[in-house]
Amino acid sequence: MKKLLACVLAASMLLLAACSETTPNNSSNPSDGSSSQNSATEEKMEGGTFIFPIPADINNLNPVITESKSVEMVMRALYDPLFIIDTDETRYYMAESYTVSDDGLTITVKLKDNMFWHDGVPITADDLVFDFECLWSEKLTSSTGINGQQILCEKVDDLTVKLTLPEVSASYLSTLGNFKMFPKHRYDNGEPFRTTLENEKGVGSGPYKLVNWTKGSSVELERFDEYYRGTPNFDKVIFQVIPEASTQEVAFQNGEVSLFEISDSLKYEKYSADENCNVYSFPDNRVSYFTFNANSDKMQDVLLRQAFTYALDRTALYDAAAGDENLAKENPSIYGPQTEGFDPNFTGYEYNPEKAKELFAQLGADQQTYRLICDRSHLYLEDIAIAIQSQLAQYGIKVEVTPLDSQGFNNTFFYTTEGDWDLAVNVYPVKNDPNSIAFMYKKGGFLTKNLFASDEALALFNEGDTTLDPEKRLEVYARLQDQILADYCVYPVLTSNACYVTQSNLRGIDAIKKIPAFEDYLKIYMVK
Amino acid sequence: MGKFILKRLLQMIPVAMLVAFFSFAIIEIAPGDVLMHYIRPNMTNEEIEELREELGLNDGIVEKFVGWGKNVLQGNLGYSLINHRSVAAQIQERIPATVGLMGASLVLSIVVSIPLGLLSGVYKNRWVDQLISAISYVGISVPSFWLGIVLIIVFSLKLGLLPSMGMRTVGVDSAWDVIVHGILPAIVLSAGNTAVFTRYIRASTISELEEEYVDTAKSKGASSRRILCGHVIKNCLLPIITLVGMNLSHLVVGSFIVESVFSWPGMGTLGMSAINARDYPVIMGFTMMSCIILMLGNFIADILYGFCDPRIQQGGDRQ
Repeated sequence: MKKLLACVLAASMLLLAACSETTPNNSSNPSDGSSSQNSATEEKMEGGTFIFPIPADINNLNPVITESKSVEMVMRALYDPLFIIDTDETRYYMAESYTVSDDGLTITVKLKDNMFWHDGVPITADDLVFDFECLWSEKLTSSTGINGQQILCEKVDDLTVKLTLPEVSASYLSTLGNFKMFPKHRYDNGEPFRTTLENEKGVGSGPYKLVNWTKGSSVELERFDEYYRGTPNFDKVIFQVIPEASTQEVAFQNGEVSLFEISDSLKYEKYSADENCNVYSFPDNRVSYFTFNANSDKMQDVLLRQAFTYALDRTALYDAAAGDENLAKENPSIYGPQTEGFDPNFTGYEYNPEKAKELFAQLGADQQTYRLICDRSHLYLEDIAIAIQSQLAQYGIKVEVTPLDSQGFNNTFFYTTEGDWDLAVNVYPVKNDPNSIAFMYKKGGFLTKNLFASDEALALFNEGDTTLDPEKRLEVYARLQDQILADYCVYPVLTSNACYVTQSNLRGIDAIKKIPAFEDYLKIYMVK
Repeated sequence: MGKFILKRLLQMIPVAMLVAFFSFAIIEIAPGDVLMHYIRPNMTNEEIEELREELGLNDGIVEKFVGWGKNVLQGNLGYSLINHRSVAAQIQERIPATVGLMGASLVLSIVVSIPLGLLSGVYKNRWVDQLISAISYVGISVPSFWLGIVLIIVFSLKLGLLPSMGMRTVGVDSAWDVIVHGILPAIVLSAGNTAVFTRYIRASTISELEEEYVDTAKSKGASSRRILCGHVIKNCLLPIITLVGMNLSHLVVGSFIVESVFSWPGMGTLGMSAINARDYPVIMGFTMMSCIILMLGNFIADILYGFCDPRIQQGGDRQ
């Protein structure tokens, strides 16, 4: 529907553009640092309103129990993390510092002084201790436990807490840094955590505070003057619900929103050439992949899975789905380009049509029809699925593509073990830490019921997470990648970029050059 | 008349029950459920099963339907499984936007279609008729999302006359602002119905102009205007009441698309997000609300028809 709307819009725009004035070209490209904007002569504008279009309304303003890309943008404005561990630096937000004991089992976090919640109450170590206890009791264990065991969180003084890990986890520090605190004095109210009205008030620690949330329409925030890191630039930040991508684009052209996201190369070229806009592109570290159902009777033979990997031309799949380096990059690795230890020279599976033909013939694969499912609501997945169908048809392999909506796909792909599908195309997020993809492969885990993950791979994940030496750790994850490919578990295809078109006077979207692009709202401002 | 009204009211009950049951069945058949919203990567199978039980997703369709029905009979539409807010409160927040939009587009359809239909019928096969007919065919054929986007481009982007989306400007709280935002969505939502009504009135006008009473009036020396305004219009407009009732469904369905294109915060967008999340209490809430709007619309149309045409009442009484 969205694609259709986009086509209709493009056709309509062409017709209308034919009778309208042309726009001058602009060669600026802030994403590669070749911007023609001269920051020395630009005058920073005080105040203003930053309007961000989001495709759907948010469900609540609790930073822990809600997850989605658009929600993340809202939460970043309302709540600060403790710190962000990047590949080359650590950026501190609410935490002043952290220390890790030699055995890796104790982490001491010191919070910054003079921090306040949006209602004016000081932020202290009591809040963090309460948050950990509250989440553990609610079985929200991603930050508060390791392998089902609780992390003890104790107050040392008003601004310091000590975390005692039940076992060594090298990746936990990154998880802890991303943790967004919520106020004890608000949530310690006896009401159920998931349904308390506090979840609609969004009292946080971030640079902007909630003014008004018109359900289904907009979330309006204003500058929080007591913010501990300085004064945010915009007076207001508004998240406007605009479900249709084409309407977002028109709203942008009309000046009703400050930016919008694009996902096709024609638009990338069009807006890159427009001097009234800037286009930013960052890797969003999501790996789109092709995989096999471990519960399908047809897919049990490892030689058949190997034949599929020989048969597929990754470059052709990438070209069919994205084909533009600004939008996505071909990726043979199970990790993303921003993951620590990512090897840009890794080649992945060999493309060998002769061997594929040989194996398919030997196994009689052309006598079967394979059912391939994909999540059509994610970018590129349906295109990859159709390209796979087309490539395999050249070997006489029949593939029936079934695109599903997110809920239907997730249920079929992750939850059921009925084996009524054989092949799938999906996407997973990767963070800086390579262990962030462990959930995908952990054998017996909920999300991996249907994947061919071996015991050897699981053992390497465990080894990687318990190895504290950074170099040795990366070696383990390199071996792990080889193992996963040797299991014929997944066939990575590409990693997508997030591309934003902004009004030409907006600056700072590329300040961090990472996704989420809005990690630090202090860096975003307008020029006159 | 009382019996007629009572009979029509009683007929609504089984219709509502059937709609509720089939809606429930469709939700149950659709792949996926709200559980996917809660699952986190590190959850164990046991935790997920507990969660499933907690959310009541393990109950059979009949059990769920009966439980939901009992609550509804007590005036409780339940709570969203996603945001845990009362379904009734969410509908209450959204329904003014949808009803306002539907009402405006209905009025617009009637006001525009009556003169166009009459004109077209009176000047049958002349250029005026052909022009109006051509526009009507376009109105019937054009998909509302396409029309919406074209109107946005023309009136908002190119001419800068109207806002392209939303129901109000953030921070502005005036009726005029809402009206301005509602113009394009109302036009788009009314386009299909306007075209259908126009065609219907045209056909009705042509048919009435061929009736003997028109010839009689002409032979008595009545002017064409008097015949049209005094006699023909009354007979032509009667079926419009039924037509409006029947076409309310187009408004309900159309509002889903129009609200989405124009980011209008009504029941349509609430319904779409509930369907995507498989949030069945909300889906049932807005389905039943849409059903009630439709049934009430048809009911009011029947009553009005009864008032306007006493033969209907008599028929009802005789039965």
